[in-house]
Formats: sequence, C-alpha cells, structure tokens
Amino acid sequence: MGLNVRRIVISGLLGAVAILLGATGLGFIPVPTPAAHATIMHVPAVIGGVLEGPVVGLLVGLIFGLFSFLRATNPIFADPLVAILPRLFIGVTSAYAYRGLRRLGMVPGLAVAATVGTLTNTVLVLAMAVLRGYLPAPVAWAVGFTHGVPEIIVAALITVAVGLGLARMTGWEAKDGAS
Amino acid sequence: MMMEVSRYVTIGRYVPGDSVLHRLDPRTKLLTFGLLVSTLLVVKGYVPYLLLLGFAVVLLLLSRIPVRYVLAGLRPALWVLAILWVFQIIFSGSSYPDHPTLFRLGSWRATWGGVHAGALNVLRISVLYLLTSLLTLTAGLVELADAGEMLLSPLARLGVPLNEVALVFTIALRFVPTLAEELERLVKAQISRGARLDEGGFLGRARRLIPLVVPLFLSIFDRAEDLILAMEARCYRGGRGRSKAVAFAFQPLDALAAVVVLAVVAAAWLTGLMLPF
Amino acid sequence: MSRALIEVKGLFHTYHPNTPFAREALRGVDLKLESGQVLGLVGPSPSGKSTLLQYLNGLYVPQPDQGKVWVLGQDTAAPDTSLWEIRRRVALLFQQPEQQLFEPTVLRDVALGLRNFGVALEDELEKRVREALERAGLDPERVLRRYSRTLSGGERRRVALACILALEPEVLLLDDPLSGLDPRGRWRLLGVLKSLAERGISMVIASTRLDYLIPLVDSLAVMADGRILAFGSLHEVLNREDVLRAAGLQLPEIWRVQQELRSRGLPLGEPAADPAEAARRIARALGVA
Ligand SMILES: Nc1ncnc2c1ncn2[C@@H]1O[C@H](COP(=O)(O)OP(=O)(O)OP(=O)(O)O)[C@@H](O)[C@H]1O
Ligand SMILES: [Mg+2]
Repeated sequence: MGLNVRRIVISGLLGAVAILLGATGLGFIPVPTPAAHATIMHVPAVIGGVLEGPVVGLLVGLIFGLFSFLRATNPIFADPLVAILPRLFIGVTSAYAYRGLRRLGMVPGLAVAATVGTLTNTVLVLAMAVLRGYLPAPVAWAVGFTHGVPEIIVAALITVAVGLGLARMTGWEAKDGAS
Repeated sequence: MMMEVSRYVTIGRYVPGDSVLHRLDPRTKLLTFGLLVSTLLVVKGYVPYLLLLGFAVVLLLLSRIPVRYVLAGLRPALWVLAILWVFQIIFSGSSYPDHPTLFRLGSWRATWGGVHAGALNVLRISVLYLLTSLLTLTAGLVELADAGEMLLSPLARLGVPLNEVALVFTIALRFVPTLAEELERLVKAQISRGARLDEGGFLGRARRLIPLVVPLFLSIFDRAEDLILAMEARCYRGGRGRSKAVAFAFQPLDALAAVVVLAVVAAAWLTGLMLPF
Repeated sequence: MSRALIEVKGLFHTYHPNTPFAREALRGVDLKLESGQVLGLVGPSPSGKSTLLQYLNGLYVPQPDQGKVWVLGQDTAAPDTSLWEIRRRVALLFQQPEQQLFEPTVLRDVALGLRNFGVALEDELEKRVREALERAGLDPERVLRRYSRTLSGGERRRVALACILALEPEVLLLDDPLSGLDPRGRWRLLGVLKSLAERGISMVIASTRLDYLIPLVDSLAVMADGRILAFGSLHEVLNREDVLRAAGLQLPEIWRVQQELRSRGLPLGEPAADPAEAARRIARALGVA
C-alpha cells in the first residue's frame, strides 16, 4: 500500500493530465446548463484509482482539488472545503468499486468504477456546496442531474477505452493482482 | 479552435516582482494564507469579513500587481456569485421558517434570512478569491510546493510519506508542458486527418474528445516506464536526503508579516464572536 | 487558375507572439512546387521545416500581413477555401507519426481518415485499407487486426504512411520520414517512397540530412533560421558549397569523393548518389570499365 517509485511516478503524471485538462479547457465539455460545462477533470483520479489503487487515486484527486482551488473557475471552488476535500475520495471509491466488481469482467468493472468515481465527485462537491450554504438543495439536485449524467457517460467511455488500450499494450489486468 | 495548445500552458499565474509580498519567505506566504483562509472558513459576520476584505485590498495594493489584472479575473465570477445569491434568497424559506416572507415564487418563499446568508457568502468567497489570487500571483507553484513540504515536515516523523508526496507534486508540475506538447501533436494529427473537433453537439464533442484523451493517457504509461527505470537506476528510495534547490530563510520582514496577520486574524475572531452581525 | 501546385510568398510565423516565449520560426519564406516534382526541404534542427509543412497542410493559415500560401491554386487564408478539403488532397505525414496512431487496431487507424473525409463507402473501407497498407510496404494480413502500439517503430511509421496514402492525396508532405529508424526500417521505407516518386506523385520531403534526400528528390530548398537560403534543382543546389556550409549541412561522403575527383581533373559528370552508380562512373572515367 506504500508509495513505491511506480506509484509516485504514475500519480505525478496523472496529476499532470488533470492540470492540463483544466488549464487548456479540454476538460470542459459544453452542456446546455447554467454552469455551461461538464467536466472530465476527475477522470485521471478515477484511472489512477482503478489501475494503481486507492493511494494513487487519492494523490491524483489531491492534485486535481488543489488545482481547482488555486485556479477556481467557479467561485464556489474558492472555498477549499468544496474544491479540495471531495476530490480526495474520487480515486478511492473508484479503486474499491473496481476491485469489488472486476469479477464481472474488465469492461463492466471499469464502467462501474468510472460511474462511482464520477458520482463521488458530483455528489460530494454538491453536498459540500449545500452544507456550506452556497447552493440551495433544489438547485443542487438540478445541477446534479444535468451534469452528473453526461459526466458519467464520458468518464465511463474514456476509462473503458484507456483500460482496454492498456490491456493490449502492456497486458495490464492479465498480470494484475499486485495492487 | 484550440489547436495552439500552448507548450507554455501557464499553470501558475506567478507575476515576478519585488514588492513586500513577493519578498516574503514562501513559508510565510503559505502559513499566513492558511491562517487567513481558515479564519474565513470558521468565522462568520459582516464586520470580520469586511475587515478581512479591507486587509486583502491593502495586500493587493502592496503587491503592486495591477489591480485591473486581478479584477479582470474576478469579473466572470461576480456574475456566478450574483446568480447564487439570487438562488439563496429565493430558496431560503425552509431554512428560515420564522422569518417574514419577502416575496413568493411558486411554492418558494424568499426571506431576509436568505438575503443575509447570501450576502455573507458572497463576501466570504470574494475575500477567499482575492487571497488565493494574491498567493498564486506572488509565489510560484514549485516554490509553494517546497514551502509546503518544509512546513509539514514534522508529519514525516509520524510516518506520513511526505517526501514522496512532494515528489509526486514535482513530477506533476514538471510534466504539464511536456504533455501539453503531446496534446498539441495529437490535436494537429486529428485535424490533419479530417476530424472536425469544434463541431457537433455534446455527444459529438464527447466522442471526438476520446481519440485525444485516450492516447494522452496511454502515452503517460509509456513515459512512466522510462521514468521509473531512470529513478530506480539512480537508486531513488524515497525522499531521504533530497536537497532543496533554494534554501529559504526567514527575514525580519517575515516576523513583521506574521505579527500583522495574527493581529488581523485575532480581530476577525473577536469581532466575529462578540458582535451580533 | 494555372498556378503551381503549391506556392508560398513572404511567409512569416511567430509562435506565442507577444509573450515572453515568442519565437520566430519563419522569416520570409518563398517556395514553389510544380506538378510531379519531388522537392527536398533540408535544414538543421530547428530551421522551421515542420512549421512550413503545417502551413502547406492548412493546419496554420497566414495572418493577413504575414505572407501568402496558395495550395492547389487556393489562397489558404481566403474565407471560402475549404482547409478540410486541402488536408485530404495535400496530406501530411508528421514528424515521428508513429506516436499519433490513436485507434485500437491498424485497420481502424487507417480507416479513420477515410471515414472523416467520407472518401470511401463503409463496405469498401477494408479493401481501401488493405491497398494502402500494401502500398506502404506492409503485409495487410499480418497487421490489419493488430494493435498499432505492438508493432515495431518502422512498421508503425509505415502504418502512419498508409493512413495518408489511403486518402489518395495529390501531394504528399513528409516531415523527416526517414529519421529515427534503424537501417533496415529506413531502407524499406526509402524503397516505398522511391516507388511513390516514380509513380509521379508530387512530394515535399523535409529532413535534416542531405543523404536521406538525395536519392529521392529532384529539387532542393535549403532552410536555416526560418529562411530559404537556396532553392533550385538538386545538382544546382548541391554545388552551392557556401550555402551548404552556412546551413551547416554535410554532403554525403560518396558525393564529396566524386567532387574531389572531378576537381582533380577526372572527367566525371554530375556526381551520382547511388554508390554502385558512382563506382561505375568512376571506373568508366578511369578507363577500367
Ligand atoms: N508548437 C510549437 N510551439 C512553440 N514553438 C514551436 C512549436 N513548434 C516549433 N516551435 C519553435 O519554432 C522553431 C522552428 O521549429 P520547427 O519545428 O518548425 O523546426 P524544424 O526545422 O522542423 O526542426 P526539426 O528538424 O528539429 O524538426 C523552433 O525554434 C521551435 O522551438
Ligand atoms: Mg521538424
């Protein structure tokens, strides 16, 4: 469970992808809602959790959270309790979801893990925003549905494609079990 | 079209300068920032918030960063804040059942309680936003990461793998430009082969995103193998003995900053606790 | 309009203009490609070759005061020019294209452009892909269903070439196609490119090395620091020693030997690039053959 060289390197590189997705705007997909875009910035944390376990997922989530705090695109992320705290759990829940479900096969396992990770992000961020008083609950529900669904779809598509690619490329999963 | 993914994507917003704020030790910047932010998160009230807002504005002036530059970043946020305020007013009925009704919107009831709570939120977020901007404008991210590592170093003795985590940050910051280049190549290759990246509705865009993002993810696993080998070849076994590129040193200025910030924070706490608004 | 296939006039390009990172990559480039011509673009690294090729592919379009680019008679900056159309007809093989294969299988990668450009019906896709792979010197049976990342570097580069050959472009832009391959991979790709040139396809080939270009091209442009130092037929340019030296380029040894022999009075014609051909000519000149 410790931080060996492999986990350090992969956490760092996935963290770089999370930052890049935010800094280039590539992580935002326009959707017709008030907040105007769905995000895939949480996907690196999901992938880190699924491939390398909860510790990597947590670290990538931390980088994502710090970045969204320091470069708040939406003012409620100026509050670190909304920006950072929920992000720590994305990769962790994805990791356990995948472990629990990989018996079902790699593709369903990855899709469900991505769904769980995305829900973790959406639900915890919105819950925190409600708790801190920034969003009234009815508004949070509405945002949750309009964003949650497209975000789940895109996150699942990407996670499955990356998993399949890695399986072909490096035989990941075939030799897995260590993490 | 976002083809020129800059290979110099700016992740930090550091603006070099030699103002009083710039010259503070990064550890001082980070510590005082942490103090101010946690005060804002806990304390509530117009007086402490206005006090902190005033202090943030003084810091902004001291930093000699063009005020317009900072406010330009705040402007889009102000719109969202205004909308949030309106929402908080409209939906406040259930939180303040005994407050008189301002107006009704369908089954929703607006109250003065909502107006106040919303105003406090807007104030708090504005100050938080200003403070975060000041921090990232006057200190580089690498510098801040190093300072954070040094400040948290007591945790390492408790078994938290602090050096390793710091290394994760270093790698992340170091590789953003490299991956930006990679992304630019992918975007160009797609467009050159006939992809129309900026057309189509949500699903179309999402689908076109996949051939960009998936190879990007896969390429980092290629890169990871090389990097792991390189680090293992250099016998990297955790952070022991990693040396800092810059040695930080506290100056009298840092002591002064600490005293001032402590005074402001104490005032905020006291007014927050004692005054009813 | 009866223009050349490609024409560039007074082209400038600056990366990240008005920032501390501003970098002038092109400083007034003029260039022309006639139909059926194979043009070599040679220059040290970096001299602006890749940037220039991206203009010819419509990836970059000149700003109003930064020069003009006509491709297939169309001004790429004109609002009614379809850059999308240009990208199919004047296709670009990027530098190190093996890093830009995106799809899970070779089949899908080669088919991607065909699909995007809508040039093949769905049921003839596979046939077109097979043809393109063959023209790129690959065995379709062996690679079609493979994952491209599991192929060798040389094979991957030929898959990338197949990706653009499948579009049946009128002009090929090849960015440093031979570098970074092992000798065998280079030799095989060279054969593929030669056979394309023999079929009369117009090409622009960029490289840092003259010895990679000499067997392929009939004219040559020497680039350095974002400028064209010389432009003309292969032999014309190769005799401009001053220019080659200024650009820091080296003639292949076999070429220099022939030049030396000629300057010492041996009646050799223009030097030959192919060692066997050179030996034959030298032998003939010495009267031993
Ligand atoms: N995408 C980019 N962003 C920023 N600067 C760039 C970019 N591409 C090239 N440059 C800069 O422009 C200049 C010309 O680069 P270019 O790639 O066109 O040269 P080149 O002749 O192809 O070099 P090489 O032989 O190494 O491929 C270089 O100084 C390079 O650093
Ligand atoms: Mg180049």
